[in-house]
Amino acid sequence: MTYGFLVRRGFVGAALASGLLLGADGLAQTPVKPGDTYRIYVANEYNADITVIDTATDTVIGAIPISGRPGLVRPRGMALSPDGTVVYVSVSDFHPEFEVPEDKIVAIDTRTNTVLQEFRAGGNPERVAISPDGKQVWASLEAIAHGGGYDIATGTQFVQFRVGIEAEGVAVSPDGKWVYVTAEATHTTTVYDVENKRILKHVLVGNRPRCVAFSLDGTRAYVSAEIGGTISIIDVTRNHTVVANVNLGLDSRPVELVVDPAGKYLYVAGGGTSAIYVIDLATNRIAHIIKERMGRRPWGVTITPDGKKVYTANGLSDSVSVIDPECMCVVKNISVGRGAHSVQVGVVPARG
Amino acid sequence: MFNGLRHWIGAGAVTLVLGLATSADAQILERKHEPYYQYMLPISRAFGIEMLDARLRVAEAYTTALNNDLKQQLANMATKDLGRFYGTLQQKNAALATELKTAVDAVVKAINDGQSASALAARARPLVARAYDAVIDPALRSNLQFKAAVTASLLVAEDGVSEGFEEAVKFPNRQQYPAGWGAWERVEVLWKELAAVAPPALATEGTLLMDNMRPFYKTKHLPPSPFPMEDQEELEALAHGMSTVLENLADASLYVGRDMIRLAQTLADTLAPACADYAAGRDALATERVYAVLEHFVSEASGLSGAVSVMAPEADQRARALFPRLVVTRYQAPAGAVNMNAPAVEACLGLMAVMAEAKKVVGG
Repeated sequence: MTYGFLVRRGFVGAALASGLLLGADGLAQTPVKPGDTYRIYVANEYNADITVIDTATDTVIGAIPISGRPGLVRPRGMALSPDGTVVYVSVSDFHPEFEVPEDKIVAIDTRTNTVLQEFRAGGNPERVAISPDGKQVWASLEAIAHGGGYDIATGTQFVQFRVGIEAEGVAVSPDGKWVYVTAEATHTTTVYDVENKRILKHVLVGNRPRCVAFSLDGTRAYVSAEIGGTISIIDVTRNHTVVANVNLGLDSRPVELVVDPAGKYLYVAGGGTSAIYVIDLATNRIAHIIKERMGRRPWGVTITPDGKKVYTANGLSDSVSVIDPECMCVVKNISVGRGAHSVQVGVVPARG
Repeated sequence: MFNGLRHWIGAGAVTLVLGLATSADAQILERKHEPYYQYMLPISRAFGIEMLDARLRVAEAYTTALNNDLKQQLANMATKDLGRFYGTLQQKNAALATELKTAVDAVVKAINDGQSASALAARARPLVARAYDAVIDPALRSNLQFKAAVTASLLVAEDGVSEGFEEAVKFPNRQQYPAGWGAWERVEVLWKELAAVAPPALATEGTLLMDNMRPFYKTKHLPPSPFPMEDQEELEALAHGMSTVLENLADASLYVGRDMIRLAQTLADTLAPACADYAAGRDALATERVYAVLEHFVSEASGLSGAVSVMAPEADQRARALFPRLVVTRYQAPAGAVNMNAPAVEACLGLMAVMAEAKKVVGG
């Protein structure tokens, strides 16, 4: 799927009209700007660093250390600022029962690949999401079964609210009104009303939910269920109700998911089958299963803002697979650090 | 260690199920069998027998006086392990039931008295083997789906391989480690039997997963603190990976929580006769049912309690208060929450009400 292909189909126009594009765990992606280049950021859970890949060549151009204690401190979920120039990484250790200084959110500047800022985020933050205005970070705090909101300007937490046990995925709706937080052990997604500062409801989804992503127009949310092997589709406009489930198969073990910039497909990382499931959002049916040459146990998946490439983080093969959406096939595998967990696309703006 | 294990989790499922194609619907995997729904009570009984044997193995392995934590852990053999199948054993072979109970009580007493229970445990274990034959129909015991489910319980249920290690490392509650070790020893035996009938690719995958789990339980004694391998999530991932292998091997779904409404109804259906048994004074039979219900209510990966705790927290709290009135569990009833002297049937009926409420909140 090339840029030209998208233009012909009118997809790019629709995507740009929507302003921000929502990806894995509701991560905001920037509209395509001529001359922008992209870098892939891979959180290596056991290496305690972030691998950086240049998408022009699909080669590793560096690694950003997160901690000097690899194997003890782990980066996991990531999110992007709306302009794509800052990558936020949730960092914690392997002992969620203890508060440690490493429980934090780290902000990385994509232009320099240096750490800009760190926020204290106690409670073992597992994943993060950014508000559409770029002013807030929201985190799932795994150990304490809470969601947390943090003001980026001050680096302080401004709200903490109760969610299900083993909080996991988090996403902010495109209009900024709702924060969704999934919880693995309670099989729920909690809906937090940002404006009124209250929990609106808990929604039962598939067994062991992991990640959540909103549709481009914000009317739907998609929740992956690892043991259920399903994607629960929540209608945001109908009181946040599950209206359908897409069955990926009991051994699919879906984790991260991302809506493509055209809003046509949902890409889902199937950790159990080492496959990427591509769901047609018009029909809510599986359109493709990408398996050949895939790395092992993909948990992370993301797509470039121009829709030309999909990248997966493969935890068992310590690699990233590059998928061409035009052929729906893997075109390259890239070695990264140990325990590739999540993947995001950062933007390096064109000069001038 | 990490590289080795990460290369193998889930690999077999990939090659066996999905192949290499890219078209979709025909490749969606469903399971033919649902052993926990078909045999919920017999699996619970078998798990109790397995865990009793596991704890006896621990008692046999320790020839010196045990610390209080480990004493408490091993005392569970006389309550939560025996309780899972004692009523049925009494029905099938009353003499053996008495003999086994006497033997187990003697082991627990010796432990509590600070004496070595090693010889007593060794003498009790053949009785456990006989109890297995009496309680579980031989045809069912050799049933592939049944055996896979029992193995899965040993891997991921409370006191099992994964949970035992997690409790030991995480909280820390070190005395949970030996229970996990005992469960692990049985998983080793059961996997050898299962691997013998598995397709080669699955056998290879399962064996490699076992190889990667083994270092977590490389000693039967409590390892020094801190443990050499502290990442309980890694073992949990391996145990669930092994459950996936078992699901593939047995063509069976081993996670009951995939259908919460059905689970709630099944737990209510399983519990209802227990209330009648309590009312009729058949407490041992009733207890078996309560243990089976408890296991699937609290299962961390796939139980009902998780959802209920969020959707109807008062109901979940009531359950957590009522279960300890009937069986031994790590739950503790808040002081005054339940009259522990009230008739068991009242607590049972209270749990029935919870199950009905649970079914409603999960959409049933």
